Amino acid sequence: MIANTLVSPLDLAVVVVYLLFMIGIGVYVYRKVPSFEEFMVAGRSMTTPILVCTLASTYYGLEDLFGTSEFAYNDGIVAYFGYTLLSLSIYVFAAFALAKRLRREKFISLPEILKRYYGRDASILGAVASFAYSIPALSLFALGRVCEVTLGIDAWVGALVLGAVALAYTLLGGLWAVAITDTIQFVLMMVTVAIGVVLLMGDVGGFAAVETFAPEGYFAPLGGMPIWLLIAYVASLLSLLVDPGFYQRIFAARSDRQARNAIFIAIGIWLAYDWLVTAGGMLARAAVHQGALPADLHSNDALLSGVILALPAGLVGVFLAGVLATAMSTTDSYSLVAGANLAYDIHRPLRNPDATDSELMRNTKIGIVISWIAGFALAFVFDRLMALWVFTATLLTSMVLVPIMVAIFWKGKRTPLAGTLSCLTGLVATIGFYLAIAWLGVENETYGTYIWSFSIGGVPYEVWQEYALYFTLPISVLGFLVGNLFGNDSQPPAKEAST
Amino acid sequence: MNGWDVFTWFNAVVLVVATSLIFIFFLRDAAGILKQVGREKE
Repeated sequence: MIANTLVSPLDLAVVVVYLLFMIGIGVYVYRKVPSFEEFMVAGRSMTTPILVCTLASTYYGLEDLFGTSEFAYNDGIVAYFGYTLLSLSIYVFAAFALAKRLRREKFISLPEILKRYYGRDASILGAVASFAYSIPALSLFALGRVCEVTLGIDAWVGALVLGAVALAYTLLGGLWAVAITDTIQFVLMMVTVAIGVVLLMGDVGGFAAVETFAPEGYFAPLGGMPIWLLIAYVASLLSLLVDPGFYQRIFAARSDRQARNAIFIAIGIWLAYDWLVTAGGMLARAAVHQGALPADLHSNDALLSGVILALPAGLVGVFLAGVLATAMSTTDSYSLVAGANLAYDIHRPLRNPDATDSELMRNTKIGIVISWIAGFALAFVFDRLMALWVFTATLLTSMVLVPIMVAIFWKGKRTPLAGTLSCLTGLVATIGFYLAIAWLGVENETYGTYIWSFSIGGVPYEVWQEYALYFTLPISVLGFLVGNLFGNDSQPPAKEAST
Repeated sequence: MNGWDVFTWFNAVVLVVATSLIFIFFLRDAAGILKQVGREKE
């Protein structure tokens, strides 16, 4: 545990001040959010700098901070040149192709796109998938885990207290509070990681020290990993193209140009940040090699331990606030999205189509609390959270990627049945694939996944759980084509008012 | 100092400078927007 050795009372005071400041922002913004549209998409008035901050902090959760550094700790620079650079190409596509179309049609939520193009049934299926994906279980668990490692308190207590702070300001101020707190969190994350990694580099003697023990391939851009495996990793990031939180920020932009510019600037920020996280993981391994960090250090804790070792008292507190901020910014954003899915995309069309603005606000806040409680319960009851997150991301992508991309880019025939069948076949294919792999495959403890091995004509093949999208997306396309063939061409009401 | 050290320094400087600039522009925009929203509410 790091808590008793390196975290001083001054650092703890910094963390407490940070938490009080977050609540203060929520209280301040509460008085300035008069309508549902203001609450959900900040009145569509977000400018490029605010969008950059909220994009950068929301999409870089602890799984990136610790996951990328762990990848670098074990495998070297492939974490950056293989994984990061390939995955950022998806953001470039999003900036060029998605921002303009999405912003101009004034949507409030991702399922609303399905409603406008395919009708209510597809929209509700999409909302269920979006809700499952947005439940903040992984980020609340990560929040608790960081509290346990750094502050020495039980994980569930840490997640309860800090998660409650995130819940409080989200309920008070909606997307405005989320975006403003994201900005503070963005500054903390970026500055402390930059300072911490540079100091760590000085402490261990730079990359020359890493080269003294580096295993073969540690400095190879692809690290000896086959390109198809990297592409399989990156394919799992296709969920970004239908990420409801990402869409919400584009809807909240003042113009499509501001949204596009924000994504490009965020990509530049991520390029610099990801290298520092990669370098931090590699330099922490040098610190282990030199005996400055314990030999049994878990690779997942490498960056955290290395940077805390390098920073002086006071700045450690700022760094810890930055790390906690990383998880809080993900928790608040997805709680807000999940709450809106329940209230706006599921409850409203099924039970209360004529809901007033204040009813939508109230119901969304109830939805936020429900999603937070569901996330907290899952975080400390379910023991395979990463697998759960991968499953919900696969489910969302399999169900809505095809109908949404067709809605955005295809001007021809798009029947409501096609949208509904595409979502349904994506749902059935995902559940079917996971059940089949769990039944036919064998659990591989090294990779933490299921692998089904078989041979055809003496040639051995392997199907990994991670390959789900290779099967489910074509099935979703097939469902769409069948629905388009047999469905009625009559379009649902195309330009329904947002609220 | 080898090439990777220089690359790390470069990224750290880029990150700190970019973050500072974005934060300054954020303060300028947020103050104006929140004032406007407050007036609309009144």
